[in-house]
Amino acid sequence: MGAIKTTVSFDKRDKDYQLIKHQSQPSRSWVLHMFDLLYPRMYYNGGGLVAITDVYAAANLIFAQGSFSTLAINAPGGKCAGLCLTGDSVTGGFPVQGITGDLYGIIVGTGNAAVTTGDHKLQTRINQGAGAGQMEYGGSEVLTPTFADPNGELILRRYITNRSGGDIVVAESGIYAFAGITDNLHGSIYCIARDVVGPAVTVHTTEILVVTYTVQITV
Amino acid sequence: MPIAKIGEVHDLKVIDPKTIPHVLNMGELGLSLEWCVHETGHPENVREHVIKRSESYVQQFLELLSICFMDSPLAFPVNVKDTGNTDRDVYHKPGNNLSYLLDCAGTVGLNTFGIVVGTGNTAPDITDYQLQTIVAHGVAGGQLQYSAVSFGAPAADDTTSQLTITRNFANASGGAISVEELGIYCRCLDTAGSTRYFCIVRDVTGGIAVPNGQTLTVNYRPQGVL
Repeated sequence: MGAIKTTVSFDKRDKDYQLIKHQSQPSRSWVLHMFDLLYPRMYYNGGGLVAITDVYAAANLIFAQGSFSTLAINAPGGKCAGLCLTGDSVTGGFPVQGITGDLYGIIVGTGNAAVTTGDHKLQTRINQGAGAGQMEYGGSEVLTPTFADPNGELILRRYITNRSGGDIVVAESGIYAFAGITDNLHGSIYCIARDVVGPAVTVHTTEILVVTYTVQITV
Repeated sequence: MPIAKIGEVHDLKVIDPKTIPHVLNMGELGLSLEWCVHETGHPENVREHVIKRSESYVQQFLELLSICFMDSPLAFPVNVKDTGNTDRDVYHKPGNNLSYLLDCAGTVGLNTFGIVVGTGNTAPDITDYQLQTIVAHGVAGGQLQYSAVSFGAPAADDTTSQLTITRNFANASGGAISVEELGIYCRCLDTAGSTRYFCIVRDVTGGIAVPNGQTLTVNYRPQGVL
């Protein structure tokens, strides 16, 4: 009671959207960067400057005052432009053309190393595409919270399709958030949650994986 | 912990602010709550010191977190109840002026945001939108002096990540005050361009006696546990 509990589920569906397999597990996933990104929001007066490592292993100063966001995970699908900041350019290895939807929100990977509080990325993320070892990311959704006293629930969800022509074993999932940096012109992506999927889910070609994080409060 | 008489016990200390208390369970995203009552100006003279898990993120926290996650624009705000029981359309304003969202950094003397204290003891409910009976800032009867809110930067050990939010409440009212409830209010911007205040946490304490001349220090630590 009194704390937020999160479950993460993995639904595997065929191309006609028929459910093939459902599995669910308690999420143990909130890592230090979740608090690194909450800090500048909560400490607005003081600036809340904090240097954190993005998913490209570059250290950036995060700054709530003037930033476009510090915790955005609501992402469009695939290579659709996501958050396009004025002057967006190479920052910590970030591509010039802006931040596309596949780069943040719920992300899946193939690594199975144990989660640590210092994780700043998935071990081996699965990239966007229909080539070997790739999957196509739909939009990463943040549903409106719902409440039924004494409970509250916030659902984060993403549909991810395998059209690679082969099997892909999803062994990890996580949440990447976008945050702006001090110059108010640039931003990058930070890992705020990571889970090892147990057991790993094998997604055959043409199948759809639905990853859902359910964040629950009970008072 | 037994209560020590003021000035008699000198080996009790507030825990090192860098220390990470472990009061949550595996996988939880919650708060640890620590309070300490000590002689004003002499934090080494501790009267009471408690560390426990906070019971109550309330509805507004999840709603405001969803705004952060959605980066809700002006055209698509989220309706959130403020501390005055009025529904407000809240969004995340981009740009460098007044883009408040979940701001808890209340300044000295303000009980509109930051950690707040009260005298109500009704059990917390997820629909709570304010403390039951907030204590005013001041030195008159029943009042406490609110310090500025301070922060400890995020840190982690092997299992637990956290940041620390701290505020002091000095009692110079001339009489004892029993603090029955604690909470966190934050400020955000609504679509009308006005600053609004929201309750995101409320806890009932069971009664913290703060005699005249004593200071209550409250640490809330948002934490995540692997």
